[in-house]
Amino acid sequence: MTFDVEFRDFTFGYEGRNTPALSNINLRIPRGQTVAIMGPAGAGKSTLLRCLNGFIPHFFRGTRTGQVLVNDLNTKDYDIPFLSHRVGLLFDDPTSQLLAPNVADEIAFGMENYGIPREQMVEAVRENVSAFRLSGMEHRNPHTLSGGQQQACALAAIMAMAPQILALDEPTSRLDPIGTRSVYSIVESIAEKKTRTILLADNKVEELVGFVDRIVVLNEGRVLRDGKPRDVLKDVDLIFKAGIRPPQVTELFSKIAEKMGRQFDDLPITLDEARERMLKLIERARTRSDYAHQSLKSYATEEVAVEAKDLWHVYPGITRGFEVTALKNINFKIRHGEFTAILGQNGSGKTTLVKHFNALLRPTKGSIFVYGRDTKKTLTAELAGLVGHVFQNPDHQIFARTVLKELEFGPTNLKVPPEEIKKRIPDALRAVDLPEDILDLVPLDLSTAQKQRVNIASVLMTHPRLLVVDEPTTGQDPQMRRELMAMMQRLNRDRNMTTVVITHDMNLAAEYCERCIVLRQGEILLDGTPREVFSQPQLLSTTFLSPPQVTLLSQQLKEEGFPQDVLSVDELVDFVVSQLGGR
Amino acid sequence: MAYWAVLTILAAAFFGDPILLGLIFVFGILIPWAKAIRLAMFKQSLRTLISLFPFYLVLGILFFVPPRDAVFLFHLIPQLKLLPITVDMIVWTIGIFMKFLIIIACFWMILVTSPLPDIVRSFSKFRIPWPLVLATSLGLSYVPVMVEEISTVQEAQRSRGHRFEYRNPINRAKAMGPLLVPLLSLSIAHSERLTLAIQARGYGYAVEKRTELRDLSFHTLDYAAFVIVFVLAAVFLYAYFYTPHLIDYTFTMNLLRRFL
Repeated sequence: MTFDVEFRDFTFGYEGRNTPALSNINLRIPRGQTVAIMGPAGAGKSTLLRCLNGFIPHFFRGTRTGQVLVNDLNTKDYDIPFLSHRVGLLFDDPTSQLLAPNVADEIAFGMENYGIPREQMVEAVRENVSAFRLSGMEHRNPHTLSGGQQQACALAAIMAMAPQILALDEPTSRLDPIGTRSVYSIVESIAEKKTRTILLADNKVEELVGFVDRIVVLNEGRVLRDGKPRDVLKDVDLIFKAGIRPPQVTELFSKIAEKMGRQFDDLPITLDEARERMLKLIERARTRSDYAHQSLKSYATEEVAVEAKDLWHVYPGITRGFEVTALKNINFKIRHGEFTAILGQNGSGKTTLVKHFNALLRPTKGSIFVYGRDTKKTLTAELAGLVGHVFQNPDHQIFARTVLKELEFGPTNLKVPPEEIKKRIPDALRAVDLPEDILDLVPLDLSTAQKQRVNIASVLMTHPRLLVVDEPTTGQDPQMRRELMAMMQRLNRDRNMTTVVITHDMNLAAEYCERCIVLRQGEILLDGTPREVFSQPQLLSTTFLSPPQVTLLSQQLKEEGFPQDVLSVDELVDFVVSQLGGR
Repeated sequence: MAYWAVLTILAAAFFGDPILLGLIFVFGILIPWAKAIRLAMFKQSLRTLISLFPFYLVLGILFFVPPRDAVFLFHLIPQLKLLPITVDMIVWTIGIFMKFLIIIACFWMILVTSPLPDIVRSFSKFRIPWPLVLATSLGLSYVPVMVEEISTVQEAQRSRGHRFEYRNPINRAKAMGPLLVPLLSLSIAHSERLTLAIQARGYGYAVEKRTELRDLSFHTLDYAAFVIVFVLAAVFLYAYFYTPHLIDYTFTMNLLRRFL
């Protein structure tokens, strides 16, 4: 049997780095297979994919042993353009791979480079535009599309080159739930045809498990596990140790088995399987639903931190008829010390809303008060001492020559005396888990994770009472996401800071936040505790958000008496175990 | 549409009469583009531009040499009989200023409504090497992205208490530091990712054998437009040198003289 992709004892280390990025990789992928490559950040997923189209070794230099074969061609003997004809690589950031002035040109760009005749190109553009649901947008600038559409456009551009192999590098990590779902459904339809070989590097296992044939778990450059999804995900401990997470239902059953001292042959990996399995376990729940309602301790006080009154925000457009009403009739009060998550699809108004908290934007109608001050009458710079706003991309804020200077920036602007600034530094570093010797390093040289922490630390230096964090979890691996949420929980608790987090991660919002505000098209759809919000799946689905998988499972078993407001795996485990007579 | 704008620019360049230019403005700019442009934004930009008029006035005072029969108003420095202000000068200045307005407005219209990358791509027909065309095209499409990045970085630094607005230009320059570094690193990162992206799409495979999706060759309409523009340019040139009184500010002056 020939394989489309083969790694034979392949080891690769990037130039200038001590440890190899990939060690002794042996993989053989036959034609038509869809493989998920999972692993924490730094495990080597991107490195692996870059070997397929020749980026390694031709663009990224380093030391290499072993072979990588694509369609039986050794990648070291062929250059990148040649290999790119056979291997289509999709990056995680849609904006940096869209390079044409409009969608049609974007899709044609690759074909143009390969000298495909015009009639063929026109036909291919038409086909791909409709296959990727971009009809009617051929003349639009790709940058004006939504995130999901942008990735669809980039993928269409790659598919137009008719590659045999598709390498997708975390294609949904920057997208909102709708975008993620649409990209995956496209990938799924390609995978179903079984004509192309797909390698998908991604950790969103709950979405993937429905259509991948095989899972390869990477960690620290080595293959930890390689096999059918069911077999790989069964080993829940290994998955956790590798720094990633199995589907919630898999984790659920594994923990139930553990608590009952039982052994399940097979663990469910999809919601449907889990429901069937659960029904076999418990035909009907006893009326008393006793499970420890793990409620989060709230540190909220009576003082009102942020108050929005009939807030509207309309963005004016350059040309007539292009105004966008981003926020409509927003009313809420956030109390000092509360830990709130703001949820919603991209474009629902989350960032717009949060920019009002420190007067980056002012209301078109209505008003917003931050600790009693009307933002219409205050400058952003004045609010910097009260409100700390951490932007999503640390590169937008980092500029100083040393981490020390970066940290000093904020308080210096607020005319805090230097001795006081010096006193605040060790505290800020400790809050974000960074060592003191980082102070002399150049911020631009740090890893993204470290930059993000430096960013947060520098915002903390002004001792804000309200901390606003814009999508800290987007684009991070599961481990990092948890660490960040836990860090913010600590800040909320230990420093008595009102914390507002924008996130797409429902599971984490459910577990860590005491309040969720769900926005939909500029209006507040739901506002309450996670329990209140996630027990309304119909409402949530109107904006294509869904509660955590384990909550959904329990809600689907409403007839059997299951609780409707479960928030975490552990809660449901407790419930089930108590029903089965365990402890 | 772009050709119309070029025409208007040409006309504005040669004519010097305020009333005529006013007509050009109305017919060349306001009417064709009225639908596309939001009035409020347009008025704002106009206001900014009009605020530059005093500058032109100064130019006029310093450099305009009034003809013999100019309508005299007063001397700016009466004691020394220097710097005469004449109605002629004012009319002339207004004329120059309107030229300036029209030209700027035309450029702005072109930028806002026409796909600039298309224009850039057509450069390849002029036998400019393809890598250069692509680089320019990519650079241009980065501009809107960069504009947004600038605004984001500004917001981010404002949130840390930094102020950008200073009256003193030196302070203003110093305040740009926290803006420039992130912008630079973002631009460099963007270009690195773009390099990867174009390679992943086969850039450099066989540059000579490249094909194009759209036919960007010049058609009859384009050639006709070229010819018209060329002819008109010749006419204007002639008028400028041989019959200047037809196209400079004297038309308005003569009108005004009737009243004064």
